[in-house]
Amino acid sequence: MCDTCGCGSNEYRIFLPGEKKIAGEQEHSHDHDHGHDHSHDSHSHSHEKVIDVEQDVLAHNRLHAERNRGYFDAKNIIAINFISSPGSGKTTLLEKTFTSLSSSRPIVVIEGDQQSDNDAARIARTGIKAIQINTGNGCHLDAAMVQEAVKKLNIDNNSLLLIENVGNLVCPTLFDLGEKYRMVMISVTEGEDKPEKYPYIFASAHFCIISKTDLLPYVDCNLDHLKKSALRINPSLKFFELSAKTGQGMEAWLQWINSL
Amino acid sequence: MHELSIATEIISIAEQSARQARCQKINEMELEIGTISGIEVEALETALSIVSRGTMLEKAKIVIHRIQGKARCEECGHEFALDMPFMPCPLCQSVHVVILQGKESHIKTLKAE
Repeated sequence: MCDTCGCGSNEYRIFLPGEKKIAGEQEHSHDHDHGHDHSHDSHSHSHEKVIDVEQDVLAHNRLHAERNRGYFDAKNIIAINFISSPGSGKTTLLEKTFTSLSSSRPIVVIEGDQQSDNDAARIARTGIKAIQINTGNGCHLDAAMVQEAVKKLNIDNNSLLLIENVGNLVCPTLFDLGEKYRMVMISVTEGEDKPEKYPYIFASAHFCIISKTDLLPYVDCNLDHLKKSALRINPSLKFFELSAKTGQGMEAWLQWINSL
Repeated sequence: MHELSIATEIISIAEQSARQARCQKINEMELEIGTISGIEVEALETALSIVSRGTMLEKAKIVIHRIQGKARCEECGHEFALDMPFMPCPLCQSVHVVILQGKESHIKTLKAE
């Protein structure tokens, strides 16, 4: 909750690993238009009027997302938004990617979590520049948060910007961050019916990463079924099947990242 | 519960529009939410009742019009109802399908004074 006005709209914090974080220190603007109108006693009858608003409720986020997209285009930055359930292996995949990558592009990572800087610290240990966004009560990143984080990161031209969203298959879906590619990640332990249960994220993703494939012999997950049901929702979806732990399938993934 | 951040945004847009029209109090707000917009109407109503406290919408009546998801098959021309963000044509199974409506998430009108 914002200490100044109690607006509750800016509860997130952005900080580099190890940096002291102070609650409520995040700079943000306050709209101080409190409508200082004076009462007119003689006008006691109703002045109700109909206002045509006709505005998209996500317009504000879309505006920020397009601003990010323009900034990324101008600096030739490629942004990728990773969305999955908590625990599907996003951070592990990123760690393993960085230790075997030969991309010529500088890499930066934005980590989104409700609390803690564990993930940004894990990424920073691989030698990659990372920043943490703690969303507080928020269940997803939005384009304005990414914009602030990007400013703080001071990203080089031609960078690869990997954004690990808050672990959640529902809420991040509606919030465009200005990314070029959206990845939905699902581990084989989560069940083959995930696309049917959470169709919105599969409908909006460019790629689906199926992770922890080394566990396939131990779980009832039919990959064909999973892929067919995902393709039914999004016929142009492409897949990576991999295990960051054993390295199985990592080659195709690394090749794609290197080709960006 | 992304409906909470959407509700916050709705309140902000509505208050701004009302202020521009030199109003201090919103009596009614009309929303259009599509069935394939990704917004749960019940969750949105709950969120709005929470975040509207202390705002110009505190006592406002919220009217939500649901817009049924609808698509047309580009191959056979069949029009069909959608309850998922995407579905192949139920008649010819083609995936060349155009979504006609249902993704809306709009503030339509306010009644304010």
